Amino acid sequence: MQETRKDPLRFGPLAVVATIWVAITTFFPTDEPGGPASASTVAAGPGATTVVGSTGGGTVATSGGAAAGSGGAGPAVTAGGASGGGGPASRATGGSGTEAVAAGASGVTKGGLPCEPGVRQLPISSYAHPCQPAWSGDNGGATHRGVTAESIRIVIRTFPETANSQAVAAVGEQAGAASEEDTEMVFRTFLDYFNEHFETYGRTVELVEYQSRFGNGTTEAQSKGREEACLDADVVANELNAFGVVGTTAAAVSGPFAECAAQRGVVVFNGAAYFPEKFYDALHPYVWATTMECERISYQVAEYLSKRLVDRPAQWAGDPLLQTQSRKFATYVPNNDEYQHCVNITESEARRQGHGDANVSRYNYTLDVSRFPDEAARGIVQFKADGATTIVLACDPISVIFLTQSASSQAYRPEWFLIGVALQDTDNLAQLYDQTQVDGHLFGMSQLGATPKLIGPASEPGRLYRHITGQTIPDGTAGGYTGLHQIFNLIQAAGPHLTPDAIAAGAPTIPPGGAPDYPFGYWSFADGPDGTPGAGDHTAVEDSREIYWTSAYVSPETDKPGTYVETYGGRRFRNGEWPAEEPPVYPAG
Amino acid sequence: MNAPVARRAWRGLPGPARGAGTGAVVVAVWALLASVMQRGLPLGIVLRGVVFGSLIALLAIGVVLVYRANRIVNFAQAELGSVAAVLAIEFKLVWGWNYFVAIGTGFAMAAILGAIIDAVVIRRFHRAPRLILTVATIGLAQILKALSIIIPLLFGGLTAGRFETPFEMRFDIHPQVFNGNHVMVVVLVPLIMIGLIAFLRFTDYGIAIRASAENGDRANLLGIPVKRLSTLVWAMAGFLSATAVILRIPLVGFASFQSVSGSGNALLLRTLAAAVIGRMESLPRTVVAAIGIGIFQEAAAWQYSDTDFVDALLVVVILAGLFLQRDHFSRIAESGISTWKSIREVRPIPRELRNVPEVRWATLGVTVVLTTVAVTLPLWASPSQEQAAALIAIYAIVALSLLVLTGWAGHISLGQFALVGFGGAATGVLYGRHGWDLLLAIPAGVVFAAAVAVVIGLPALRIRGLFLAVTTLAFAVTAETFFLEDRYVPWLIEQRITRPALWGRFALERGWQQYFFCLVGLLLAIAAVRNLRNGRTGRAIIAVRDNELNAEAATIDATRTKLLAFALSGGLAGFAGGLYVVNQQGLFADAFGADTSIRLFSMVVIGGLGSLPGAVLGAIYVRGAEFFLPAQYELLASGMGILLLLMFLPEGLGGLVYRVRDGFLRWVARRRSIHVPSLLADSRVDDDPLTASVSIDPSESTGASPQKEEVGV
Repeated sequence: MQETRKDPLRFGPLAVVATIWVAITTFFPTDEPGGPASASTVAAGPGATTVVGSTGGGTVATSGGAAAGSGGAGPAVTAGGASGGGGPASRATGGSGTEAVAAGASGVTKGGLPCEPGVRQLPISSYAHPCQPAWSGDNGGATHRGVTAESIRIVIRTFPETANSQAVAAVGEQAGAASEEDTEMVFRTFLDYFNEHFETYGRTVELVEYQSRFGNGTTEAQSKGREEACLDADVVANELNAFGVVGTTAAAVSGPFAECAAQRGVVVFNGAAYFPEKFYDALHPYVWATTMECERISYQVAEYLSKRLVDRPAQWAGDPLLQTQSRKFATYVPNNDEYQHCVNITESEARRQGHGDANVSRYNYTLDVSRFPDEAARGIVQFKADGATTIVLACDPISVIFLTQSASSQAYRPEWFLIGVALQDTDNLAQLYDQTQVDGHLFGMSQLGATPKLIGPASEPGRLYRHITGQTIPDGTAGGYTGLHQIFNLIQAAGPHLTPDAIAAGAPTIPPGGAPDYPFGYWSFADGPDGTPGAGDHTAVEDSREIYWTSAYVSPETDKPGTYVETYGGRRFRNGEWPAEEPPVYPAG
Repeated sequence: MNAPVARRAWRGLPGPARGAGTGAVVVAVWALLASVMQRGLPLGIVLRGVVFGSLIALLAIGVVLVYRANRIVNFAQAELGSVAAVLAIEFKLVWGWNYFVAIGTGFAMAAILGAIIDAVVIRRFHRAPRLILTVATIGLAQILKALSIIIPLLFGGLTAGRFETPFEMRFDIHPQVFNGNHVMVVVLVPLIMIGLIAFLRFTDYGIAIRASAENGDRANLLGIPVKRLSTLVWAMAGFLSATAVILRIPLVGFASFQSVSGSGNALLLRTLAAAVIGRMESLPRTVVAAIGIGIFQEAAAWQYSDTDFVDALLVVVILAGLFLQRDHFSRIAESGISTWKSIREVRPIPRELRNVPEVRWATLGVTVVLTTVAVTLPLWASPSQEQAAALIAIYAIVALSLLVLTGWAGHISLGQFALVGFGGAATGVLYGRHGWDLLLAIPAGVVFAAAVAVVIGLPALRIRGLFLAVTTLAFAVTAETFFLEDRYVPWLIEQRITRPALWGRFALERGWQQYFFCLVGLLLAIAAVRNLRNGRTGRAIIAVRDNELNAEAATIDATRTKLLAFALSGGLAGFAGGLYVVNQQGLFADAFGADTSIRLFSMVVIGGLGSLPGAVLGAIYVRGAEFFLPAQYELLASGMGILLLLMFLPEGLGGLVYRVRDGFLRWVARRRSIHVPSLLADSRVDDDPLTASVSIDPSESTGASPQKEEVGV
């Protein structure tokens, strides 16, 4: 038996099989990345015709105007392959094959409105694409999966109701949020109106609701659940044959889902909130968002801290001893790749500007909700020991609840600095923070607009709703106004030959939206995350306002004490625009 | 002076001298660490570790008690008291109850709930294999966790608030501020400990619990009400769990967004590690281990400011702790291990019946139906369901790898899916980054995962059963947060790859293409596992599991065979990883967490660890219910579904399938008047005098090929 074991011939069959295997793979190699599985094939999908590189043959009833977009498509940068292939700027001119779009020309729009340079497609909106005269001609038909000569199919991904979500929704309604029915009604009103007025080149945008069959909102909110998210993306791409997808919540178009959708050639119009530009870049041209990506936030945080806080006493700390000390910052941030990358940008910027010493502490917490309380407790002990006067909240709002509670437990009363991510700057969540910690001590940046400017009769959606229906918009909803703008702006900018590449080519050409009122912020895809003009990015909002938390006022959102108040009358600042002065938060009296 | 002599000398010292010696060692270690660590090791951090370690101790004691009473690892221990605790918290925060009234009510409810769970759930599994009951507690944990999240929302909406002890005090020990909440922990936990030890030592019930823990059957024969004692133990476990939550919340805060029970799998790992280091027997040792782990985690978090590093280092500490305990396994632990192994292996179709036409036709029929379903799936399934079926096939391969390791070799692995990650990582990086052909990258992934599995298996040469389970759980926790994380091992992780075309001809892009690719992979894996089981290697693995000394006497190298089992299991998992990374178009660490591995373990146990079809069936059931059934039936795969399934089918799905098969075979045997000993072994032989003299070949019962066979009469 021993002799048999030592006999090398017993490995003979294995060696033969291995040799044959190697020979087969040598003579008949598997295609490498970038081969047949590249984006053009992925994007085509079943039942669609891929016409990459061709142009539509339409004409625009125009009396002049600037051309946007470009012709001559090369193969797209694949979503799944080795990423790269030029920076955002080079991508912006790369390959849609789209015919020139006559934005800003004179004439009459599709909706029958007079169009002149400087007028938007929806005159009431600060965010709509510049108007263009009604288009007619051949739009190329089925230019991509989900696109026909008559329609563009976009899926709205939602999660099924659970006992948990129903309870949360009930609490939301108690706090003044609109009912689901009201929100749906307003949304449909806007959708119809947008279809009538935005230039969609002979097509109608169909929004199809898809209640997730596989995914889980809580899991995806923690950037997990990729298997299930990918299965949902399969449904969206291959069963619903969608051109694009949007979500009713941030979790519904989470990072994992956005990635899976992009891999299947589906355009995500509001995906992966607060992920870094490098994430969108790797999935170009498929994933876009309205919320500001975290690289830009990081550059702005660095600028804000350097110009307005560094080398000044922490006067809004709760502890009188800390109030007299020069500010030292501690950052609380999830320890996943994306957010670490962004906080690294803030720190390197601070070092570049000579303020590196001001960052005295950083705690990287695990993005797992079950570990939040323990992590927050440890972080606070560390921050206090490191002598931090100001805690930079680069984290989710639930963690802020635990951080503030732990700080009270540790008799630690620092300044709390918001960076505006993940709804930490909303009243209903901030009311759950330990008020003894935050009242008078919580301030910083917010990318959201003030609630009365976002929703309600005086808001832009409220005015449009009255314009359309003659009625007052229901309380507590904007009916998905910004999301619809994002979709229709990008489609109009893409031109008649609609493909993801055309979207990418058109996006940077959309003139900035929002100015001068900035209710939802300054929108543009033209500039880089660090503010470099023309460098391009994939997210719309480019500016932040300054806010502070006080319990002196009742929240218009929740009708409970405690609300965010904005400084400078709500003025917003882009990269490089933050004034070099003490924040005017907590004015005396 | 060698170790045994030193140990004897140490034991010979008087108590105060030993106390002083221990204290001196602790202080020396502390001083050493304080000087070595970059941030030092302040006393406040050590004491903070003591406080949080004490809370781990409460849970670990509960685990030990339940283990001693039921011989299972109670995965629901952390959640057992969470429902009552969260109600107590809401009573105070929302209804403004007095603190003591609120927590008193919480304690009482927790104890009652524990008793109810024993009466309603645990007793139903009295005769079931322990692995089945263990998996039932996984389902139970999910149910309790869901309840503890939903209750506050139904109670008073989203709430956050400070649920604190009424004791006003505060003192600083750098860098931590201690207050009444901390003092409450350090006072109450020792009191509970002392009370518990006194109860177990000096009361009739306590002595009876210890007796039944030593030997339940003998205790039962002696008239001790073992079942009633089990109820008492579960009530105590509920009380301990609720106490841990009620003491913990004032320290870390409360918000009704997540379970109040603690830190998920990380807490489970720490709890199990403490219990195992305490040998599942000694309460004082368990407490010391828990406090040690608490100190370590706080010190590591203080040093690195990142829990990923804490988890990674904790693995080393746990392994060291387990190795030090290796020579001290108690009879309880050993008997527990043997109980855990007692999975009945499925027997093949008896030889007497294999060639009977009914059996042949039935076998052919089942084969045809399964083949038809498998081959025609793309005709009736949607593209997403094709992708889901591909995933199920991959999970089935991983289930097979667990069959080899747990079912055959007897090693419990709670980290098997992490091996999938390693195989996938190697495949992904070789194919996606270094341009290897996929069909060469996958075998390379197999080899890499096998090598990793062997490294994990090295402790198995010294530790077994539960002890190895904790090691693999630690491996799973750290694989997700560290070893497969792109930030720490960028050379190993390729997050995005494209699906290739095999041999330049067969694209793997569409759902049906993925499905057939993975189905072929599954069939290859099944063929490999079947061959392995029928060959010398499979028999050797089982022989070593059943009796290591006997196996060695038969010239089987036990060490080599154990490691071979790990390598084969790891290789299979790595193969699944290769398919997985292609299916998912990349590799992200969060897919390989302990949750998935524990779920996988549940799948295999539900299907039946004793058989190849059972393991595959478990994967199909759990993932299939999620993927293919309408939303209202997804409950079948949830904690509730798993629990109900096991309550009514304690032998799992595999057991059901084989019961049906055996019923059919008996019918055939009766119809054909063929006496089949292995089938009759399950029924009363005295019913039929003809079978009274039947000689039963034991090799049939283990599925091994019989050397000789005697047929009845």
